[in-house]
Amino acid sequence: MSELKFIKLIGEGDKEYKVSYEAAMVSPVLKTMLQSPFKENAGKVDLTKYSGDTLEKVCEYLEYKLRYQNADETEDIPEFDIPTELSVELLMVADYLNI
Amino acid sequence: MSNLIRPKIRIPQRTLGQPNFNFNELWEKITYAIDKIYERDTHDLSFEVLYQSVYIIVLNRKSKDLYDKLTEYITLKIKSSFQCEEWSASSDNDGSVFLSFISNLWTEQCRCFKLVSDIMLYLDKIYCKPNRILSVYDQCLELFKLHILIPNSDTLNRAMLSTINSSRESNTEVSPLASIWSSIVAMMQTVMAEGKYTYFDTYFEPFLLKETEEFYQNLIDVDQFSPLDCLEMVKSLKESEYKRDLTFLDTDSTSKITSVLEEVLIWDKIGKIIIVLTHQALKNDDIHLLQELFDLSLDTNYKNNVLTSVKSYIFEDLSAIHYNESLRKKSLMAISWVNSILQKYDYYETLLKTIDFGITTTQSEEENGNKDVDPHDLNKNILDEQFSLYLSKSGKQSAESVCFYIDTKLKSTSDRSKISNAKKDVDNCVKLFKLLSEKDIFENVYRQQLSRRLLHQKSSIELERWCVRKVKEEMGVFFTSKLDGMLRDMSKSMELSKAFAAGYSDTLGDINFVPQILTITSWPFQNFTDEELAKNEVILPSKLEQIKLDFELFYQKKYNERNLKWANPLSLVEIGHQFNKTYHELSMSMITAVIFLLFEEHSQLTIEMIEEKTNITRDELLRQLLSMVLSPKSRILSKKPMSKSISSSDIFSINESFSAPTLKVKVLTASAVVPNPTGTSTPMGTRISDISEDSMTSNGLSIKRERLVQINASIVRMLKPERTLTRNKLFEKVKSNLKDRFTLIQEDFTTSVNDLIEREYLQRDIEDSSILHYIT
Repeated sequence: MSELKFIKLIGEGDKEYKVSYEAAMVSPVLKTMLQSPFKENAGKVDLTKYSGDTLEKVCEYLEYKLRYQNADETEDIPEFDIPTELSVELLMVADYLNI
Repeated sequence: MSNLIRPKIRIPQRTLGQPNFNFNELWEKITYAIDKIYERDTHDLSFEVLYQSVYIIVLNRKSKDLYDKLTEYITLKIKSSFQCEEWSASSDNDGSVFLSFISNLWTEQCRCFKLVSDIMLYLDKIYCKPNRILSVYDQCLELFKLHILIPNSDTLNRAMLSTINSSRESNTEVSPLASIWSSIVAMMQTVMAEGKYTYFDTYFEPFLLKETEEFYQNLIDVDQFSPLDCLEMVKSLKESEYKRDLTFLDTDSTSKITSVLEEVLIWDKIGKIIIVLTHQALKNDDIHLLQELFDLSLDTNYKNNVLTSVKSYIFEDLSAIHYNESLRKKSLMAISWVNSILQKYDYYETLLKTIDFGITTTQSEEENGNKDVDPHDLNKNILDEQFSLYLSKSGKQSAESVCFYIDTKLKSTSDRSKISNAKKDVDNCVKLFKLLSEKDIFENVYRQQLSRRLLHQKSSIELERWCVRKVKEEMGVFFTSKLDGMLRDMSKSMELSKAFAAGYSDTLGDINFVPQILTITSWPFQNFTDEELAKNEVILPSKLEQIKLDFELFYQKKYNERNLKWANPLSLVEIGHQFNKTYHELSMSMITAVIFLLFEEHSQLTIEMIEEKTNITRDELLRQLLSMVLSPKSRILSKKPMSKSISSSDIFSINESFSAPTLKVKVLTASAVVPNPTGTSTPMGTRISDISEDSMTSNGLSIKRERLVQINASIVRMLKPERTLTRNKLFEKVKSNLKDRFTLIQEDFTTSVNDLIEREYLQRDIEDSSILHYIT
C-alpha cells in the first residue's frame, strides 16, 4: 500500500480526486487511515459528504502544503487562494481532516 | 469568522448528523469495530465510517459519554483477553512462561490500542487535549496497567528476578530470555505510574536494584577466598552483569545496576580487602594489579580508598625503617637512616610514576576531580605527603638526621675528587628538605654544623655554597640568609688572610695563621659577652701574641670602625710534634694549645705554674688538663703520680711515649668539671688557626626561644587585621602561617599568648576568655 503513488478522494456524486500519496500524508487523519489495516489502505477514501469543488481545493491545498511546508524563509511563498463561497465548507473539511 | 458573512458563501449541504443523531447506533458501530480489531479482522471495515461516527458523536457534544463508554469497553476487552489466554501457574517453574505470556499480551494489546486510538483521533483532538485528560491511547495503557500490571506486579517482578538471577547463576551473558526481558522492560517503561515516572521507574527498577544487591551480597563471601581470587571474581561478575544488563536494559538503568554492583562488590566486599590487595600489589611490585585495582570503579570514594591504602602502605613501610641505635655514632645512625629513606623514596617514585591514578582507562569518561592535575604530580604528592608524615613523626630526629647526613657527606670534601660524589648524595637528599616539618630545627642544626665545617675547614667552600643554594631553592631565601652570611664571612676572611700573610710574613714565620672574621649575627653562637671573653683571655705564647697584635693592627688599618674581638674558645690549633715513636699532627682547641705550648720551654710544670703563665682560670685549666692526661686516645701529657684525679701537687710533662695509629690526632676537651689541680711538660708549634666570636648554642633552648619570637610575631600578624578572634581560630591561623617553619603545638602557643597578654599586646575578652582582642 505504501507503494501507492496517488490516492483517490471520493467526493459527492462519486467523483474521484487524485492527490499524491505524500500530499495525503500531510493530513494526520488521511495518514492514519491509509496506514491502518482498514479497508481504506487500498487507496480510496470515501468523503462523499463533501462537494467536489471543496475536495478539489483540499487536494490543491495538500499539494501546496507539501510543497512549501519545509520551505526556507528566503523562498517566496505564494498566497493560497480560497474562494469565498467555499470558505465555510473548507473550514469544516479542514477540521475533519485535521489539516 | 462571523465577520466574513457574505451573500455568496455557500452553506454546506449537510450539517452532519444533527437531525437524526443516534448515539447508541453509532456506539454499536464502534464496539463492533473494536471487537473486529481484537479479532484482527478489519479488512472490511471502513476507517472513514468509524472516524465519521466519532466525528458526529463529538460534534453532538457526547464526547464524555463516548470516552467513558470506551473506557468501560476497553476494560472489558483487556480483562477478557487476560483470562482467555491459557496460562497456568503450575507449569511455570521460573516464571519464563508468564513473562512470555505477558510480553505477547502486551504486544497484542498495544496493537489494538493503537487502532482504537486511531479511530478516536477526532475525540483526542477535540475532547482530550483541550480538557487535559489522557488521550485514548494513554487511557488504554492506563487501563492495561490498572487491570493487568498492578494486580500481577508481584508475580511479574518475581518472574523477572528469578529468570535474571538464574541467568546470573549460570553466568550466561546473553540469556535466551533477553528479548522477552527487553520487551517487558519496554512495556514497563511505556506505562506511566505516578507523575512523570513510568511503571518501570516506580515499581520495577527499585525492586530490581534491591534484589540485585541482595543477590550479589550473598553470592561471595570474602573470607572464603584469597583476596586475589576475590578480585578476579568480582571483575568477571561485574563484566558479565554489565553485558547482560545491556541486553535488556537501557544504559541509564544499566549504570544504576553497575553502581549497585560497585556498592556491593567493590565498596563492600573489595573494600574489606582493598588494603590487603594494595599492600600485596606494592609488596610484589605488581604495578599492573595496582592499576587494575584503581580502575575497578569510577567512584571517587573508592579511588580515594585505594589511594589511602597505598599511602598507608608506604607509611608502614617507612615506619619499618629503624633508627639504628646500635651504631656507635649519631652521624652513622643518621646516615643509615637517611639512606634507607632516600632509597625508599626513589623506589616509590619510580613505582608510582608508572601508575596512572589520575585518568581512568576502563571507560571513556574522565574522572572529574583530577582532570586538571598532572597524574605524575598527583603521584608525587602522595609520596611527599607520606614521607612528610613520616618525617614529622620522627620530628626533631629527622631534621637532625638529614643535617648529619649532609654534614657527613660534605666533610672530607676538601679533597676535590670527592666533590662530585658528595654533590650527588646531597642532591638526592635535597628533596627531603621541604618535607621536614621542623624546619627551624633543621636550620639550626645545619647552621651549627656548617659553622663547624667552615671554621675547621672540613669541606670545600665551593661545595658549601652550592649546598646552601640548594637549600635556598627548596625553602626560600628567608631560610638561608644567615647561612649566606656565614659563607660571605668565610670568603672575606680568606682575602684578609692572604693580605695579612703578604704583609707580615716575618711575624708569621713558619706559623700558618688563618684568621676568620665572623659577623656576630650570622653565626649560631650564643652572644659572647665581654666578661665571657675576658674570662677566656689567656696569655699567649709570645709568637702567637705577636701575630695577634699584628693582625689587630692590620685589621684596624683596614676597617677602623669595626670592633675586633678574639674568640679563643672557637679557635683551633694544629701542632706537629715528634713523640718518641711517631710524629703526629695534633689538633686541639686554643686553650689546650696554650697549655701544650708551655712545654716548649718547660719540661715540667705544676698546675699553679701553668695558671700563672697562661692566666687560664682554675676550673677551665682543670678541665683541659684532665682531657690531656686522661682521655684514652689523646693522652699527650702525663703526670706524676699517675692517678685518676688531678691534685695541685701533680707534675705534668709531655707524654713522649704517646703514639696513635693515625697521623692526625684530635685532642678532645672533656666537658665535665673535676676538682683538684697540678701540672708540667713541653710542645712544638707549627700550624694554628684563629677565630673571632661566639660559642655553640645549647640547641633546645635557643630553638625554643626563637620559636617563641616567631609565634609571637605570627600571632600579632594574624590578630591585627582581625582585631578579635577566638583562641582556636587564632591557633589554626598561626599554625598554618608557621607551617613552613615548624609544627606549632598548643603548649608553645599558650606560652606565647600568655607572654603577649603580659606584655599587653593582647587582651582576653572579659566575658568569654576564649576570645582574644588585639590591643592597639
